[in-house]
Amino acid sequence: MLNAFSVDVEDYFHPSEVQRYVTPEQWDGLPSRVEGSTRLMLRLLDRRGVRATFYVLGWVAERHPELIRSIAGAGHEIGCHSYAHQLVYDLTPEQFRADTLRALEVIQQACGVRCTSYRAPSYSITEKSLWALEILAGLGFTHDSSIYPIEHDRYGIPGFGLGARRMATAAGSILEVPPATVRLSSTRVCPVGGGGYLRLLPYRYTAAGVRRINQVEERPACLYVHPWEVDPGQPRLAKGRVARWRTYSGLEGMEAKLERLMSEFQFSTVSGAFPV
Amino acid sequence: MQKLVDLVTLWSFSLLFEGAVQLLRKLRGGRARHA
Repeated sequence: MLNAFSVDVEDYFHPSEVQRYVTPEQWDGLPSRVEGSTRLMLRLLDRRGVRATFYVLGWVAERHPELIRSIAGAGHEIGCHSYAHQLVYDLTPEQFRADTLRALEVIQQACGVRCTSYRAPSYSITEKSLWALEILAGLGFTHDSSIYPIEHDRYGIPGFGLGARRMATAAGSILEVPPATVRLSSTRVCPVGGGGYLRLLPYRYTAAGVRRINQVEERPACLYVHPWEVDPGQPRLAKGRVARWRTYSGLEGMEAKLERLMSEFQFSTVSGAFPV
Repeated sequence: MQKLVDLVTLWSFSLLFEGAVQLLRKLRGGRARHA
């Protein structure tokens, strides 16, 4: 079965866990590492013959257009990961629309592609920001992958369906593709789709999850990682024991785990694994 | 057999997560009470 593999193209100073300590005004003053880590990811995918979806941050596309052209040129799907990595539920609908339009524009300028697939920063489409789907459908997006059907301190809609589903809005419909989760009981849903789980836990956890989704639940799984997750040399900006553990543990072994995952399972783009 | 092993793996880590989250909430709650 074809699963979706996706990469959220952002630098090591963009994750929400780090944004508490680094303001957007400081971003331009920090040494960028996104080019090297994304190219490492491209080489890995190329070795395995996998085409993936790269959700590009507009801020990155503006500063590294050549990188975005390389991603598109290698045959990967280009998606939109917002312009400035602001959480959707912290924005007004007008601000969200403006941020998305700005991202679409700079990504198109960089590689000539008009994105039709969207992923919100930190899965921040929740109950209080569901209005975003109508805006995305109105802007021509056919896929969204921004709703995590789990309970989490920063995101998630517990009880949201685990499989892909078409969401009807006043501006048209959009296919919602949640990241991979496994149902263990009527009350327990287990997240397996994130790079964080692959980094922090033994490989067998993610593999067990993908196998169960494919073989028992008989549906494709959607996985996501970030380029900084294969970059052990990045500066450690997050503070506090929990934040540092969440962000920096397991960076060294991540590339090998991804190689193993790609040798064991079949992957494609989000729109390839979840056609409209 | 593989299906059973997978299920045990997923359940084990799921229970581990739950324990870790509860511990974290307790620690945060404790800190907030002391502040």
